[in-house]
Amino acid sequence: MSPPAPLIHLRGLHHRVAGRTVLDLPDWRVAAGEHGLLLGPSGSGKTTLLQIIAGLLSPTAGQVMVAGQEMTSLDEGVRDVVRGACIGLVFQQLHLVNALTLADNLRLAQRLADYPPDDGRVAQLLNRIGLGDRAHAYPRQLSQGERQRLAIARAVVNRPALVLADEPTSALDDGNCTRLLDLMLEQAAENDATLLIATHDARLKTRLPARLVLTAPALGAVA
Amino acid sequence: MTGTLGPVGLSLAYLRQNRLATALNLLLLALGVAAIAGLALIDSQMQGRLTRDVAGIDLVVGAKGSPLQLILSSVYQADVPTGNVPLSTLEDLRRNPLVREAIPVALGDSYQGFRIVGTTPDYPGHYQATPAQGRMFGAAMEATVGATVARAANLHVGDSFAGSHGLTPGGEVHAHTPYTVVGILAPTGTVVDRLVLTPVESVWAVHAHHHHHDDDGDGDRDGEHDEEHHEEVAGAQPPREVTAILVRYASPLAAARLPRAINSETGAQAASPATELVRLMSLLGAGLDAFRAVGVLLVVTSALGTFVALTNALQQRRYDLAVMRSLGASRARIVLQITVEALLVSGGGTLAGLLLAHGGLALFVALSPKARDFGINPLMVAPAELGLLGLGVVVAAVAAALPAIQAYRTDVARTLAQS
Ligand SMILES: Nc1ncnc2c1ncn2[C@@H]1O[C@H](COP(=O)(O)OP(=O)(O)OP(=O)(O)O)[C@@H](O)[C@H]1O
Ligand SMILES: [Mg+2]
Repeated sequence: MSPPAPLIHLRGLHHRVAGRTVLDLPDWRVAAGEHGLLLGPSGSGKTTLLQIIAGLLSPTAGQVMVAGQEMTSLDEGVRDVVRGACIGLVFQQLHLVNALTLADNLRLAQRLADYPPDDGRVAQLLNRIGLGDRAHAYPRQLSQGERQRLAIARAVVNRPALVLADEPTSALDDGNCTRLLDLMLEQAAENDATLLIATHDARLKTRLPARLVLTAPALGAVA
Repeated sequence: MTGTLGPVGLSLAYLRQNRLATALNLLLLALGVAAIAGLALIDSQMQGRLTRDVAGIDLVVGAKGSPLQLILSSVYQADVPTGNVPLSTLEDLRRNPLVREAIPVALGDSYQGFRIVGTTPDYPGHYQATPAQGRMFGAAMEATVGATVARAANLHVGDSFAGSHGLTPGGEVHAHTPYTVVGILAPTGTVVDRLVLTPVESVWAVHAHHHHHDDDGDGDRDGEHDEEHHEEVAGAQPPREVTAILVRYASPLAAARLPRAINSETGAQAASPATELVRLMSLLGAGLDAFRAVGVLLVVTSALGTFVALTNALQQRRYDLAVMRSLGASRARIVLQITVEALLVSGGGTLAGLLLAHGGLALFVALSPKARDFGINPLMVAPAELGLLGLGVVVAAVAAALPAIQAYRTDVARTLAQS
């Protein structure tokens, strides 16, 4: 029996910004269910790599396979659909939609990814992150930790196969940091998702293995 | 498109979030549209009304004075008369081979603010006014009333009423010479709707009584004539005068000869409604143009405001739009979002403006009897309003174009990586 195809497979990935090499990864794979960290100092290309995997950014050269799809060869419109359907993103700046209630933030993710509305799922997630009674509040009315949890709920609402998180814990105290990681791991397990976290937060290293360590100036070394 | 999170619902959520800016924009646009639409409404209704009332009347003959005043008072029933001319003027005109038709108009009294016009059945005939109930007036003191008068004063066939002296309400009541309603005219959309029509002889009879009474100088201001006075005037001869004569020419030749002949050879003046109408229009037109310019300025300002607001909103929302992309929305969905938002603002503003125009006009008509006299109907829709709605869409399209292009081109990855 041949081994299952990796969830992520990067081949000959090379990315330059303004003539400067930012990423250079000859061959890197992540199997389904292999949670892990993407480490590296500031400016080493962690955010850039996550965006390339998510299909938000086209690399200068190389192949990006995600869930069996060759992202770089897809039309942009198809890439948008694949991203909506298979990938959940947590941004460092969260980027919640402040004009919408907490519940509507989650519903918007369902809608834009063309999933049928599922208010049960929305209510269940809000309960899980301890905001069940504040479904009609707005993101501005939340604490930083609550907003961070909402961002994670939004990333997993469609049960994506891959969750990419960019520095999700750097602004949190130890208690919140632990709770957040627990939430992510729990949700990943519940949805059979693979969790990849870009961070330089040392607190996470005790909980998850490093999958990739990027070194400035941006040359990859498999951990 | 629908639901709280479709392009419309999401736009509404954002517009709600920026309530103040949204409200200001809507207000600016609504005011501009209201100014333009209101003008279009007044313009089209007045033009239509003014032309309809004067149609077929080639010349108006009346006492010397302002020719515009003569036309306004005797054709539009909207100004005080210039005076009276002797009945012989009418008889001369009727004998003149250049004249096909000469209709007398004798003014002086009113009933509840509506003018009582002494004339002949040719006058309603000229406006194609026919009795909806009863019949046309025949004998003196018989009255056939216009549709608006009947409704407003609640007059029915068989009722009798007394006119009051003067063309505005509050004059002395001629209680001893009451009119009897013999007919009610069907609505015509012309000046006739607002008139009480009666033979010229009625006006003479009422005035004979009145003249005598005034000459008495007994200071009887309560409007009641006692029996003694009535006996005195019973034998008095009424002054045989009319206020104006509406003339239709028998041939084009008349236009060249008749006015000059009347103006130079008689004590009366002849005024051409067509000429005076052009003068009136240009007088009104200058005022309307200034008003219209203000409206255009407001619309342009609000278009710019919408543009600035959209561009601003987009600047603030570039993260949100990038997030929408990261959540699976296509570029087209983002452009649709911005376009819908622009359309909502401009469509809402335009609709509000049109409602405001009609509401304002209704208020204007309720407060100003003059507007009522001209028969302005606040519920009537001017064709220009459709054009304004179209203009609203164009404004939206222009205001949305640049932000939409910017949003289309936004580098999602770079935007999301910024903080
Ligand atoms: N739009 C851009 N223009 C120029 N340089 C860029 C741009 N985007 C990224 N870079 C450069 O690419 C490199 C990698 O950036 P990236 O944001 O991926 O690093 P990072 O590892 O996420 O850093 P941090 O830990 O500070 O978030 C940096 O040197 C950065 O300056
Ligand atoms: Mg980063």
